[in-house]
Amino acid sequence: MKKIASDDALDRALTDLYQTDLPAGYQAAWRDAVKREEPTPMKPSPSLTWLRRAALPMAAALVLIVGTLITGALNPQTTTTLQAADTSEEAPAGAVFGIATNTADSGMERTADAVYAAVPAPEYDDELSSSMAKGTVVTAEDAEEETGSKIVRTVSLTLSTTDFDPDYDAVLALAESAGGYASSINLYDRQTGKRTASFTLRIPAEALDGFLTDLETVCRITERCETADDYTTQYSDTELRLQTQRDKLSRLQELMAQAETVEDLLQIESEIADTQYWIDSLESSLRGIDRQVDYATVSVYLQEQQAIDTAVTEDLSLGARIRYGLEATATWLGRFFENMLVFLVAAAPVLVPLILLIVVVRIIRKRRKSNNKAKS
Amino acid sequence: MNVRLLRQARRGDADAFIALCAPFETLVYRHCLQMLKNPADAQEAAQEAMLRAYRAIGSFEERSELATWLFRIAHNVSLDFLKKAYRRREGASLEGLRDKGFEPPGDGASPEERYLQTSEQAALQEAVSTLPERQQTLLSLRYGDGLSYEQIAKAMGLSLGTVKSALNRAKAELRARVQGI
Repeated sequence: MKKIASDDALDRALTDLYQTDLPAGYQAAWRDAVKREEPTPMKPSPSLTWLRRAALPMAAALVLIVGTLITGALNPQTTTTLQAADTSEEAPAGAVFGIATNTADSGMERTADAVYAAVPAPEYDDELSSSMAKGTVVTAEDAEEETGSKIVRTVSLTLSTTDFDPDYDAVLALAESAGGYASSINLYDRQTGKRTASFTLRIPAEALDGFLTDLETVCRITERCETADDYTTQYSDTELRLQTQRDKLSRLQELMAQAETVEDLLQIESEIADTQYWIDSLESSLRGIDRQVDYATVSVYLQEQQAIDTAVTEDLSLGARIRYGLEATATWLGRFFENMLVFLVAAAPVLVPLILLIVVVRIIRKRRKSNNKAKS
Repeated sequence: MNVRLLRQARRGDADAFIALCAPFETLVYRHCLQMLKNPADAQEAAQEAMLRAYRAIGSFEERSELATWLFRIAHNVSLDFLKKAYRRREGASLEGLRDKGFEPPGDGASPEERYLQTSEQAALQEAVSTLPERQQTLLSLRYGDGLSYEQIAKAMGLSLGTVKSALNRAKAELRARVQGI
């Protein structure tokens, strides 16, 4: 063993130990064995191939369709809002109410001006408040006798029309002739044939039924909801509270006349201020109820419909129905392709780079594949 | 290690596997031969080891070097072969083998020389077999394939310093064991 004690000897001994000649055929044999073991590459089934090839066009078509539909839904709408400030106390009869116009088209604005200028503002001969100002004592019984039952009527209507513009004007004209006014108007000009408008009309309570009857002659009412809320008890209670506060105010005023020290005066003045605040608040509530009672609120939602939607189809012949159907489809298709064009143009800054990226990636992958094939 | 080849081999690409393992084919065969002592059995075992490696390449987690991993597979396959051979030899006698025409090989050396030579090599091999697998692999590549330190470092994906220090430790260990016999 001493023979391999040195480094050289150990190296020689290890070289002898590891001296090996590879047998002929070993290298080829194990390679062949491994190659035989190699699984045959799975060819994708024809359906999968079809699916893979169709995936990109399908995705593109989906994006196009969804984008088009979204574009149609997001079509910028022309909205006109006309808001009449419901401050009847301040508005003199015949005055044009405050009008807030958003994205107003000129026609709309003109119409609104005409309506508001023509409609007289409601007048509140509020004897209650004038008598209060004079300091006259009005009992709860007197007030109830004057005002009677306090019924607030609210009506909500959905109207369907094929002649939007004339019917729009007709609704406002009817409100005017009934002695009412429009407190707000919203016009949604989404697209031709699908315009909508919503009105909040204030119609004198005594003229409400006549107004609704007249409205039925103008448009087809598809929905109608009417409520009547009785505020009589609430009104009486408020009046009683108001009376109590007024009595208190009178007593306080008497006390103030008799006050001798400055401290007493200050304290009484503070009490008077609080009482006056409550009186003002209760008077405002009573006036609010009066307004609601005197003028019913009518919410009108006017919808423009295609002729085919409102046509009484059962009365039409088969040919006419088919023609209407085809016309509706053609209209829809035309609008669909319009929206598609809008979508394509609008999304071009995103779509064009995306398509270029996909094309470049595919070219690179193809080249890599062909290179790999060439190498193998 | 070529990561791309390894990835392809894991997917079942036989060509990639062959390209990856060909540098270690001698290592595998040599270890099988050292364990089995029979070139025919060693070839068969080495081939089987390569096949097993190909089947298991998907589970190769790169915790060890590819060469060491192949070395371990070759070792396990050789052990299996030895177990089979042991079972086959049970009941067989030298007389029976001679009847079948088997004669032990002779190299022309005198019996004394042959004894000394074989006992020395056997002791060295015994000592080598006690070393860690990585050191055995390094020794095999160094003295069997005649690779330089740089070539070994490149083949096994180790640093040059690691290769040198591991081989030095292996040789020191061997020297100590052989002198102790």
